[in-house]
Amino acid sequence: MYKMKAIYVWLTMMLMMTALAACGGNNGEQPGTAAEGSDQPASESPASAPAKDPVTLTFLIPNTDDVTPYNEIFKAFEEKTGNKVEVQALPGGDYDNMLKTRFSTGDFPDVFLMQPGTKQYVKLRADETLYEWSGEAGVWDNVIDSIVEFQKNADGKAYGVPFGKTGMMGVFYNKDVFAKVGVEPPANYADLIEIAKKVKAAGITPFYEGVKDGWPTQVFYLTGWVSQVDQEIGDEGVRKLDKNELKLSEIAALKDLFVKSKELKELGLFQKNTLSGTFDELQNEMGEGKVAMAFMLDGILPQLEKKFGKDFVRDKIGFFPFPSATDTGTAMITPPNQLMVPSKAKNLEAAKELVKFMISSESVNMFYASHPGIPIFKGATSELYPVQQTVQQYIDSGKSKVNVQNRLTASFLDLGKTLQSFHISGDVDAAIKEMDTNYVKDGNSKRLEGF
Amino acid sequence: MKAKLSPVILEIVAVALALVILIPFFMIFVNSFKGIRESALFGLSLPTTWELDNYREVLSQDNILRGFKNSFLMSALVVLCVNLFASMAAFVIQRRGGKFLQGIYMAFIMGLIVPVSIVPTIRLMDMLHMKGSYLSIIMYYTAVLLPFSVFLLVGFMKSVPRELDEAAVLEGCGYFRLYFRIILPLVSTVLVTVSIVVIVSVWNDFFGPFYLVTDSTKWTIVLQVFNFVTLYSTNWGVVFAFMLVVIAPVLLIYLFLQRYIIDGLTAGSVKG
Amino acid sequence: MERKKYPLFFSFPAIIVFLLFFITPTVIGIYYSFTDWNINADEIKFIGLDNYRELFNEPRLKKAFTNTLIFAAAVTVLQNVTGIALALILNEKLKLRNLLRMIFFMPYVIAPLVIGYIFRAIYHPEHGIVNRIFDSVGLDSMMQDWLNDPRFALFTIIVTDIWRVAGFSMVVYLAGLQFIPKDLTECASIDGASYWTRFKHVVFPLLAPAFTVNVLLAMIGSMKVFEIVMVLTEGGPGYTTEVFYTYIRNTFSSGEMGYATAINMLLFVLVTLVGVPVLMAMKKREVEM
Repeated sequence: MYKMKAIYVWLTMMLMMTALAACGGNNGEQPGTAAEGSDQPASESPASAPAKDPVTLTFLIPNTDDVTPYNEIFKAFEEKTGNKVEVQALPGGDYDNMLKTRFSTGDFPDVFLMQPGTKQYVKLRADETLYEWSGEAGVWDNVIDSIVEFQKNADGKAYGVPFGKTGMMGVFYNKDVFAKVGVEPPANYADLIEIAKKVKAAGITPFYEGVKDGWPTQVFYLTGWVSQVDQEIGDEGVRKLDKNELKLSEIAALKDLFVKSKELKELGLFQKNTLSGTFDELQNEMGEGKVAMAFMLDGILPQLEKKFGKDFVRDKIGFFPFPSATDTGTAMITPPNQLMVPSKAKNLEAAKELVKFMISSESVNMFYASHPGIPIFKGATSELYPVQQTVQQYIDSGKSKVNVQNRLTASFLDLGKTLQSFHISGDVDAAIKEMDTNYVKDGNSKRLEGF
Repeated sequence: MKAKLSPVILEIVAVALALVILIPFFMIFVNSFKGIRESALFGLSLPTTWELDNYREVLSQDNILRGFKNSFLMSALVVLCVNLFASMAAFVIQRRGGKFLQGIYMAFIMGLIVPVSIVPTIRLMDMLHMKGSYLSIIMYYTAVLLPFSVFLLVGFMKSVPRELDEAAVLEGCGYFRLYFRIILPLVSTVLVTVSIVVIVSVWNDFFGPFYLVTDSTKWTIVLQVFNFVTLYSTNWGVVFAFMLVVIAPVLLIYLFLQRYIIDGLTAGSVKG
Repeated sequence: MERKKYPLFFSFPAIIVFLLFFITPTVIGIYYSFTDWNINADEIKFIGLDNYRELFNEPRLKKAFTNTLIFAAAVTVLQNVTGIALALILNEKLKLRNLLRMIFFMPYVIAPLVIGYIFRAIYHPEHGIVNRIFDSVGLDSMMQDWLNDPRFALFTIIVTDIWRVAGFSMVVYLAGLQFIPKDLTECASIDGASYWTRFKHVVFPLLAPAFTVNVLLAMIGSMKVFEIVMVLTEGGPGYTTEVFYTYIRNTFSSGEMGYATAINMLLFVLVTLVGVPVLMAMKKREVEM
């Protein structure tokens, strides 16, 4: 009994102490900065710092994005202005919802990163919640014209400032494997299948598909879309889809993509354990030359660089678009992400200052130094990887098209899940029906016109 | 089952089964010291080189330390609230009885069974203007953990003789004194159990903060794990190191107090 | 001493917190499950039975429903079987008894989320320990993609959860065994009557209280399974391992709060329907004893 008492006393004391310590740390809480704020030596205020008290800005980013370049930029920002930036990386899959939940309770971040497209304005109800940039001085002069246009909605308003690079999706391949098998990038889709068969005959996995992660499986359809679906339905068709006047299940070329994917599977051109495939493992296998190709987005490049070095990415990785039946196809590009500032941000002025700092040429170059990519800023320099040069050539020759997801307001909700089921059942009609239903459901849930 | 089993064979079987429990822990332990490529193989062999950088990387992250702080803070405050509220309630429920308190007791027992309605809880916190705050999550946990604690404590209060109360009151002792000076010390064993159950539940929980807290500076350590894995899924060595760091405090409490945990838990559940 | 003298207000803090933060959400949840509450709209409109009507047309709900029930049934049975077996073994005079008891209980204090991640590595089709062990003993046909093959995924999750909770059941049974004379349970001292018969007729009835507690806790706990499924399969591949809480989470993440609440209500009804009768049986037994 005595022992018991002793333990209880000990436990209570321990808990009290931690509680007190933790409470103490949270006194006078500036949004999320408690501990660090007090750690900082007061003397360390740079000469150029403004007279006002330094603030700490909150910056939200999906955790699927690499935060390294952002941290570098924010460090420079702190040195210049004395204002700190607190980066909060939130889970990618729950990002939108968490953001909106914060909006609804008035817990606004100062700046946040959003996927591209004016569709996000609708989603976030930008006119009520976000700062409008179109008239802001010192923001647009640097941005490439086509990107500026893309930022503006029908009323000419821009609620986001573009940031990052023009991205791409398509087929990434290991050049060593291609050389070993003696094949070149395909001239058309039939050619692609022939190449894959040859790779398989050489004992190497032709395609890697990350079915477990879900999202990588979508790339096949999204890249296939610009090479064959757009040709069938045209911009008019996409406009109709956006208003729910055309059904996904009515598009023959889209259905054909499902058939093609099924064919790849039936020919045994995917890796052995397709269902357990992950993005992570794709990087390893492709890096080690066990896999020849993957339908992928350029997010794989920094990952490969981390694991296999810059030289590897420069010398060994190649790219080609999803080939169409007749030619090499259309390169799919993704517009840059955008920076957004809530109009009710706690530190609106400082947040605007941060955005301007982030798109200044020094920050932008800092970003491209760690994440090379096709620049969206005038005069910015970025050393391009060969894969990106390939895409640049497609853009220059007019053979590129923006990701359909960025052109439509509603999303292909749970497409990854649908494709997982499709990988198991192989039921084309069921899959396309589910994709269609979920698209309409998402439009509905976002309260879009026509749904 | 005719054959007689000698204790030696049983012992061997038991040890083999214990290995089934231990091997996964061993797996993350060795892999937490491996480099990026080697750890992705999830093997059981010892690391070719012991990579302490994984731990350094984990411990250098601000949000991880903050996650620890939040987990400690929340566990501690919930322990205080639950112990105090539950024991006071259990005291009168058991001593005073009556229709009202019996009804309350039944409500608590129902609370043991039914699932929380988590999405409306978000709405409620919003209406109370406390969404996303520490207070909201502490109140949520207190409410969720009260049923079990009340249940356990009411059962235990029965074993504290009423004669003690009478003697105390006869000597002019008020009810507060009676409760704090005489009853509480007598049920301290159960309070240890309640505390440990609360700590383990709060520390390990993902569900509550995932729905109720959107500000990642207020996230507990388990949410940080969730966030970290997607972020760093490419470096399993670091991920495993992080997991070990997260489970270490709970494991330590368990190793030192396991007798009380197990005895307390089972005493409560078997006695009902 | 007179009962009425005990101060009623002692119970108020607990009652208020419980009423406000547990019962209120449940009650307003009933209302919100009849609305179109959505993160994308300010207004919350009453839409009657629409959510439920839509839900009952969803194959996904059926999947979540059957999976939850299969999971709960399997876990309840297996957890109790392994729990009793372990308890009987540890009830013998083993040298390592205390150490073993400690080890078996250990997984129960680890966050299910973390356990999920550990086992994702363990079930990896090529590198994972499970398949490597099968490989090394020549059982090639047993080398499966345990988590992602729809034939095995749910089964694998069940096994993982047993790994986690068997120790808890064991401990409860061990406590029950304490009240049973040693010579009845020890298998070394068998004379004549087979161990099994004696277990069935003598030991098991004496274990009844521990058994009821274990069954109740296992059923309730397993119907609320969440983290471990979320981490191991996210309800996939496709919707093959969907359970109620992964479904709720997914709906919540796409912002359909009213709909998510309706799913939560269905789970509430299901757990109540299963749990209350068992609880009543327990209460009745208590009275009889």
